[in-house]
Amino acid sequence: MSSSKPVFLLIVFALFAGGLGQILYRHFTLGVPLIPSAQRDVWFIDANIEFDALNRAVTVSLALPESQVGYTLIRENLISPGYGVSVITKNNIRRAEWTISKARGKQKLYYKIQIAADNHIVSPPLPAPPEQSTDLPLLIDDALQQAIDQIVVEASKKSADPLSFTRQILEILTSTPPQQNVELLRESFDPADLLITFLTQGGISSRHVHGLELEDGRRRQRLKDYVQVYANKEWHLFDPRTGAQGRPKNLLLWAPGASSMLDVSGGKNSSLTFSILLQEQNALSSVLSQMNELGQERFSIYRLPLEDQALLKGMFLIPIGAFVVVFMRILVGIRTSGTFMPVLLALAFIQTELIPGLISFVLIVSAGLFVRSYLSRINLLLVPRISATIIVVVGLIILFTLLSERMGFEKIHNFAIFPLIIMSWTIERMSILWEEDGPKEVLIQGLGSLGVASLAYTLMATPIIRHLSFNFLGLQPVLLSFILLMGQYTGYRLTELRRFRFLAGEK
Amino acid sequence: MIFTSYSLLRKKGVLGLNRRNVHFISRYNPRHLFPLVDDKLKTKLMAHKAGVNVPHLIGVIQHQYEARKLEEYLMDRREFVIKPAKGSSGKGILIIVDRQGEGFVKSSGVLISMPEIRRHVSNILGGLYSLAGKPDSAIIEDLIHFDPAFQAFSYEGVPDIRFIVFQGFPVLAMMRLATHHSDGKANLHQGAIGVGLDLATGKAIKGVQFDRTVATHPDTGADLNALRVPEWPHMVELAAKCYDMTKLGYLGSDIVLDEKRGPLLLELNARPGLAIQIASQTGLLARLNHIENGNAPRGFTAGQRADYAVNRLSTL
Repeated sequence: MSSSKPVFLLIVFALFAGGLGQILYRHFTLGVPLIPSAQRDVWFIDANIEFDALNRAVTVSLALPESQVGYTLIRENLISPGYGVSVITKNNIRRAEWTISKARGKQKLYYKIQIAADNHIVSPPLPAPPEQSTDLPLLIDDALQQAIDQIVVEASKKSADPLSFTRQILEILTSTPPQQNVELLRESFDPADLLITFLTQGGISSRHVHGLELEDGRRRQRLKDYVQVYANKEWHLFDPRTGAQGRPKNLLLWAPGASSMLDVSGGKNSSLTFSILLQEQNALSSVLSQMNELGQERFSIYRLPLEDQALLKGMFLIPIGAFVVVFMRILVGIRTSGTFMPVLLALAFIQTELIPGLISFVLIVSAGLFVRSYLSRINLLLVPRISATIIVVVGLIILFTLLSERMGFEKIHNFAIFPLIIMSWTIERMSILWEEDGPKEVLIQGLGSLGVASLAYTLMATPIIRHLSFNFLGLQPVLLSFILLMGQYTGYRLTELRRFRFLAGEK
Repeated sequence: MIFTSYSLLRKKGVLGLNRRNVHFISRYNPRHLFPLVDDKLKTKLMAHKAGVNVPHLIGVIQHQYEARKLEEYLMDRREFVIKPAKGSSGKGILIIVDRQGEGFVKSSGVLISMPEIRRHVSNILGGLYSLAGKPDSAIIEDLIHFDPAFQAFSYEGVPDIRFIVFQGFPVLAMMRLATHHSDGKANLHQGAIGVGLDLATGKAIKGVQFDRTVATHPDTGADLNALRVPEWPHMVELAAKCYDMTKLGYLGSDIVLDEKRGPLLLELNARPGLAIQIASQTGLLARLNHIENGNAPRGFTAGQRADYAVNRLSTL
């Protein structure tokens, strides 16, 4: 033993120094920050173009969006099996053009972008001045023309500039109940086109634009129509349906100024829909992926697909929890039910949040104990007994989920997140403990487990620790060195200072 | 006072759990020897070979199809004990003290039938009482009639004496008394009383329950300080012999004093608890270190080691 002690200490030191070295190298040489940079929302948007090809040459042209106030385009990708693709810029509008000499049947083309919600772009680029046109977008007969003229006159009287004129028009168009002549117009025409007709009549420059409402998890979303009014050398956005002025928070303008969004020649029944996904991303990770592209990190977890990275991120947190367990057992001396049960519990808490998680867990385990007390009376063998407990737990999860849904506790209905087998084993262990050592011991170990789990959760949910554990693999050997050292700790536990107090203190 | 100071515990030579696990159990108790003490049947057979007295074995049932043997074993017995070989915390122990016609009288006075006994044995074999639910065997052995000297001190259970034996030297001893709270079992964490015994004389030092000192037995009212274990030198020698038999360096041996047969080995423990220090008002470390540092003579027989414990170790 004594001869292996220096070797042991050497290993501990090597792990510690190696880990720390890696952390420092990454920080000082590669510039990976030690403190997490702010998270930003990244929208993953897929534009799906679908049409039926008519068995001849096909050209598909899609107007492409640009970075704008509040949104920065990080990455774009055109997917087009068998098509030739090019991006051309005409009149300040970028358009993607897919071409193929012959296509037949249902066709699907994709345009994928990632857009970061940030404040990179503060002021919009100087807007293109509007092309003056006096053509009315709508064909209108005399009777309607009269009605329109009347409204324009009415609005002009009450307004001083293009914007107030627009607001007056919109007020008339969207008022409830509508004026009789407006009702007729509203029934016959698209609201955006209608508004533009009025504005053109009033001599105000305006254009029809399209926007995409960004909402996490939406599929088959379509572009919505908006109207922009040119005034004071800027474009001002109006919603022709509600009359609201200004850009809504989650609206991405899609190629404003483009004459059309999607042109398909050689096909019919074309449609343009969008799938939208929101991901929180570390601003750092895009820095790292740039590093990646430069070939600086060949073996890098950042090269893995996002899904795998997320999995690893969770895994790297487990050693933190294990460290807490070792610390609480060896140095503090807290008894828990099942050695690493608290770590698994803490992982579940990350998804449920602490308080709802604690409540759900205690509810299920107590109800499980109650049912389990019957199982112990009918003398079942171990494996059938635990299997029965598992099924009881499944039933309880369903019951509590429905109950909390009905009573409106939104956060507490995540019962299913807790690992089923862990719950069943906890119930089994607690139940045996109750029979053998009484309810007091159950309480001690139950509170011990929940306490250790809460502490582990607190650390595992701390942004800086999540950041360090994911971006600095060196943290793992450092943790390992500490755990090895604690494994050799032969001193008293904190709880023993209490346990043996009558032995030492009373004299 | 809620906590005592670290240095005071160290000065008292108290052994803590970490040190016990790292320094003593993992160093002196090789893993492959654990089954010898975790299986009471193996312990028993080993004790027979080594000439250590144990409660007489009536029979063993290892398979369900041997159930017929049960009736053979029990045919003309008035009293016996059935226990699981790998049971823990005294679970699954059935004590029969008399017969009444076709029925058997349990220690609690309840009458049970032969089919009920058979079902109990079947449960034992199925692993209902064993650790991790592993299949087990049922041991049938003689009922212990504990020495009348202990009559007033135990409530519905057999009192036993726990020795900590280090490298063959008994170092601390404690009597364990069942209480109503411990449900007739002699395990301290279940509420049994531990009475520390003077290694030199077998006289009571102090009683503890749930790690706190108590002066009288809560159920019988007996004065714990009046406790004195008879045949003390024999008990210490028996404890010392357990080392030769198992080669486990850090061992807990539980010994009962039978009215007729004298000291008998009940069971062994490779991870004995530390509450014995509170009951003895003595830290383990002084005696353990004395032996570990080579101050105790080597090559002694069990009897010589017991003498050394009584005369020398008890003064440390």
